[in-house]
This record gives sequence, C-alpha cells and structure tokens, in this order.
Amino acid sequence: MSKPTSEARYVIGIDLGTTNSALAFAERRADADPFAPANVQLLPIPQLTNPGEVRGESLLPSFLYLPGAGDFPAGTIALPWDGGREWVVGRLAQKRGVENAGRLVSSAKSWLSHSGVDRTSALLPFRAPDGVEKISPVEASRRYLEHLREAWDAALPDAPFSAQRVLVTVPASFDAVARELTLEAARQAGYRDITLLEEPQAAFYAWVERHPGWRERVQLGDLILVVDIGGGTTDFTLIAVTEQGGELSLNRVAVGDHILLGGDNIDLALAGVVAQRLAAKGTRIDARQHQQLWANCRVAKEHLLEPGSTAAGHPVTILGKGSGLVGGTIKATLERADIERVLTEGFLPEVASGEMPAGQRRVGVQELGLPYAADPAITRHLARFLRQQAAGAEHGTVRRGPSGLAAPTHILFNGGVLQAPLVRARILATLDAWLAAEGLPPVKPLEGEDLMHAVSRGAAYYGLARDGRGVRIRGGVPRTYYIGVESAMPSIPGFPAPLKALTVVPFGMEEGTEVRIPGREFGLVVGQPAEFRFFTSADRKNDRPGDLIEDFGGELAELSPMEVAFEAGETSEVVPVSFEGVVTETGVLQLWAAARDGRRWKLEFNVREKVA
Amino acid sequence: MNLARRGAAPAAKPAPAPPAVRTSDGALQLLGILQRDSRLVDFLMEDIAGYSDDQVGAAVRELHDQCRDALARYLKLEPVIDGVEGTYAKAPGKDPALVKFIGNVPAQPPAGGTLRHKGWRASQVDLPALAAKQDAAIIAPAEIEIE
Repeated sequence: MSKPTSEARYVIGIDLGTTNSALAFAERRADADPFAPANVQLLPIPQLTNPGEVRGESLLPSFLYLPGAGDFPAGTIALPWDGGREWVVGRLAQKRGVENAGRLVSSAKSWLSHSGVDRTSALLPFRAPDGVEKISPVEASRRYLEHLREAWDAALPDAPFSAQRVLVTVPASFDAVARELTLEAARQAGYRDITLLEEPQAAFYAWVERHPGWRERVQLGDLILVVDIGGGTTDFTLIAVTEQGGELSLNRVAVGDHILLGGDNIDLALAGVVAQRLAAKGTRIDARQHQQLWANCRVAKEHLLEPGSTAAGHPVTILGKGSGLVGGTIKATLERADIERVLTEGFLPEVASGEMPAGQRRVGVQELGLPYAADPAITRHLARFLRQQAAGAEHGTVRRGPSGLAAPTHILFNGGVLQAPLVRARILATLDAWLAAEGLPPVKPLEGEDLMHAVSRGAAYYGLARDGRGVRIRGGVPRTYYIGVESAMPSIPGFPAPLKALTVVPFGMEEGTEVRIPGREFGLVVGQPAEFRFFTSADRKNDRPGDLIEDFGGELAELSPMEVAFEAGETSEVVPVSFEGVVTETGVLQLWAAARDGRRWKLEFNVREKVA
Repeated sequence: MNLARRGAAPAAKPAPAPPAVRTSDGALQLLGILQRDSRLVDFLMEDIAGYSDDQVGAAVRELHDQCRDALARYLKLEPVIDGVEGTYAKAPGKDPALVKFIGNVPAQPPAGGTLRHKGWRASQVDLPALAAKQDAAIIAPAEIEIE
C-alpha cells in the first residue's frame, strides 16, 4: 500500500451518463500476463436512496436535487463522508425530483453539449421557480464526478482517487467545448490524471475485454457499427478494422450527431398509449398519476421484453391518490401489441436507407430548452448516419455498398434500451434489409453483456490497454493542420504582411500522441488580444511538422480564426517560443507554445471530422 | 477558446454530531418504510368492504410487489426450519419461541414431528439510522400540492 503516488495503482473508468453514471476499476500490475483477463470490477456507489438512508448501488443516477428548507428533515441528507452536504445526488434526487421538478437538475450532460446556450452560466434547473439558486451544467457535472471520487475514497482509503489514472467517457459527438468543459468539471471535482475517452470506443473495449479471442471474430476491412441508445440519447459510431505493422488495429472513422432521443421517449409513448385507452373509457389521469404511469409502463415493458416472455400483456396500475388506495386504483394493461406498434410505427420503423429524418421544427418562436430530436424514428437517424455522415468520411477504409451507403459488417449494441431482444432484432432487420438492397450479406451482431455498465468497464480496460495490454482504437487525423505565421517584412501601406503556414499536425497523426515542432522559434504575441489563423488540407499529405509553406494560395483551407489574449502578467510583448502539438485521445489539437523561461500557453481546437 | 472558468469549490462543512438512535423507534420506522415504499398503511386503514374483488386485486398486486421489495431491502427473512411442510422435521431445540408443538403433544416435548409451518426468522436487520431530530411517530407526512 506504500506505493508512490506518482505511479497509479488502479485505472478508473468513469461513465458520466445523461441519466446514470458508473465507476469501474482495474488494478495495474507491472508483471501482469498480457493475456490474462483484465479483472475489471464495478464500485458500488454509496448514495442517498431515501432521506437518512445511504446504500451502495452499481449506478449513480445523474440527477441533482437542490433542497429548500422544507424538503428533507434536518440531518437526513448527510453522506458518510460529509455530514453537512447541502444537495442530493443520485437515487433520492431522482425520486424527490418527480414530486418537485423545479429543484431537480437532470440531463446536465445534454446541456453541456448544447452549443445554443452559455454552458458555464447558471441555467439549471431550467424551470426553477424564483428563489432557487441555479447552477451551471459544468457545476452539476462536477458534483456527480465529485460524488464518484468521494465514493472511491471512502471505499479504498489506502489508494486515494487523486493518485489513480482516471478515464472519463464522453459521447463521440461532443464538440471541443463540451469536452473541455467535461475536463474542467473533472478538475474542479479533484481529478488529477484525467484522460477523455469516447463512449462507443469504451463500449467496444468492454466487448474486447469479455472476448479475448476478438481477433478471430473480426477481420481486416471489417466495419463495426456501434449503436448506443441510452435513457435520453442515441449515438452512432463506425470503427474500421485496419492493419498496423502486421497486426489488426481499430480506427474510429465516423461519428454521428448527438441525438436527444432514447428509452425515456419510448416509455413515455407507451404511457401515452395507455392513457389514451383510459381516456376512451372515461378515466382521466392528472400529471402526477401520469408520472406513475410512465414509471409503471417502463417496468411492464421490461417484463414483456424479457427474453423468453410470451405474455400478451402486463398489468399497469395507478394507485389511488390520497390516503385511499384501493378506491382510486386505476387498472390498465400494457399489451405486447402496444409495444410492437410503438416501436414499428414510431421509433424503429422499417424504412429505406434513403429515408432521412424529418427536419427540425421551424416555428418562428420557440421555447428555449434542449434541442430534442424532431423525428423519433431511430432507424431514419441511422439511415442518415450511414448514407450521409459516414459516407462523407474521407477515410478510405469505409466499406460501402454500390449506392455509397456505408456498409457495416458487424454491429455492437450499447445502452439499456438495447437489452431487449425485440429492439435489437428490429434494428438488425432494418439494417439487413438495407444491406440486402446493396447486394451485401447481413451484419453480424457482436453480443455484449451488461449493457448498463459496459462503458465504464470498457474505459477501465482501455486504461490497462494503454499500459501495453489489450488493444487501442486509433483515430488518425485525416488532414494536415497549419498555423498562420506573419512574415517579418518592412511594412508597405496597403499591403498586409504576407502569411506563411507552419505545419503543426501531419496527416494521419494518431490521437493520443504528441509531436515537437523542431527547429526554429517564433514570436508569440502575449498580454494583448491577437488573432490566430489556422489552415488545413486533406491533400498535402507529405508536409512534416515544422515545414513552412509560402504562397499556398487556394491550396489550404482556412478554419475560423481565433482571437485569444494570452495572460502574461501586466505586460504585452512578443515572446520567442517553440511549438509542440498534442492530439488528445478525443481529437482535440492542443498547440503548446513554450517560452525559454518555462512559461507555456495553449491553443486548442477540434480536429475531428466535422459531420453534416 | 479560453475556457478556464473556475468556480470556487464550496468549503467542507464540519460534520454535525452523530444522530442518537432510539431502538424503540424501529417498529415505527419499519411501518414508515412500508408506507413510503408500498403504501401499506393506506391499504390497511382503508375500508375495502365496498370494493369489488377485481378492484382490490389490482391494488394488492402492485402493493404486494412493492411491499416485498421493501422488506427484502431491510430484512433478511428465512424459515426457522428449512424443511418441506407436511413431512417429518426435527425440532431445532426446545425453546417455545423457536418451535410451537401442536396437536397431541405428549408430556415431554418430542424430538420432532410433522412440519406444519416453517416459521420465519429475521436473520439480518439493516434499518437506516434515524436522524436525531426525526420523529419516528410520523409514519407518513401529509402532502400539499401547489398547483
């Protein structure tokens, strides 16, 4: 136990989910047999499940409740490690939030990825009544992450969290700002050695972890589609199997939009069907009963969709309001046919691969809020991903059908909704029909287990893989990137000083690696706002880091410029610096400028393929 | 791109004194839990004479599930004698709290007989600690909705 803190003893994988978070971990062993099972474990997370009651559960619901004076009896929201905690995270927050939504922060992660709002401003709870102090999506995320850290420290006091290697997962579709804000939240929550990892990759690592013979199951040229349907979000990703130095390796080649559509929508639609049937019989239910109906429809759906279940329906009861229980009980049944109809007609219709989702609403005046998907048909979103987004990827390794449709060979499911065989079967049937229309064989499902915890498990496994065990998914940068350098020339009225382009990221640079730009130093303007210009090219594949391109004309495409004022105390000056480029695991280019005296400044932007 | 915005982390508060636990509150607390999680008290206190069996059945199904879940969360229940009812079973002891002999019981309690009821034993009780100021006599708070 007396290991130096510089050498982390564990890798910790954290799934910071929209509706549930989880923590998995694995021990790092220097002498480990690289072929032995990785032994990834889940940490039970102590949390308030009722006032005054703390229990360990394998998931921490990503809900935050900001109690007022009258919400909980004094002393009943204390945590084992903090007797004076003033907010509630987890199961109790979720429960109490149903009764009083005005103080509940939910879906903080979706707000974190919502570029239409200032994500660091105090927005949540979005519909809080006057007098409730709001917090920012970043602060909400910090509190979830902090709770996980404290849970770890309470369970393993000999191996402090801050001394371990931590991997936090983000959706592949998160933009650079959302990634940076996630990192910021983690830093504020006391995380030290943090790496961001994309969720679909983590899900795939979880599969690899459970299937040591994965190299026999997938082959060179295969294309794996990861479909992740969580409580409130849907994400699609394509991973290509390529060859690297004679060994199979994995490249993430396309990432779809973050679609705000998930299992909760399905449960709500089922509750709507049942409520309609009740209304037809003359029974009306109020908003709170609708909440109960929603929750019970979820339970009934899970019963009916269990493998092997053949029941035609499952009873759904809404107990009477007030202290009369039997008298007001409303009885209804969720039929298997209801689920099939809601899935077939609503969420998973069998569409052609050319059918695109209906566009966003264009009503002139819109209520502010999250940009929910306008079209509930997940299969149409998948069609758009495979036809437009993935097919537009420049990567040469994407397997395509004759019509240009990206054609996966394997499919990996992730997320709670996909635990139901019926849902998986419907997605498979639709995808296979598209492939058949292209004259291609059906897709092979990669059976995953434990879809609720796969992302955190996979993240922990990836942490071990970075030690040289297992396999890493590569995402090579598909372009060359340059920074604009102003020439040193005598000024001439009417002619701006010509611009040269310094190569900072070579074509195909692997994510998670860094490059030092050799040779000369450049002058960096600090202490005052200055404009930084970036250029990119998909065609100039042979420029090396440090190459200076003059008179590039239209050969390089300019990215949107950035205005930054680097801090340098009171003075503004031009400092001689040398550059280093780092492409992070999550596709963010960090360009570090290092001065001779040790001062460093950072510029960063996303180098991921922009998707349509 | 200058994204660093640091919100000051709230300072840790000193922990209040540990709550004093009154063990006599346990029964009321369990009743409170069963009411909270399954509305058992509502059900028992309601006059159900006027409702049809169908109506009662619908409510009880839901209540039964939730009540059992709640019990299982806080108590571990197991039979006193783990045997098959209707077959011979040895008495685990002579303690009348443990075994009740019924029927033609001889003057001296025998070593065993036909098992009629397995009995129940709470082999583990795991009730959360009550906060010092919490009044266990309140089994369910009144609810007021603001519309």
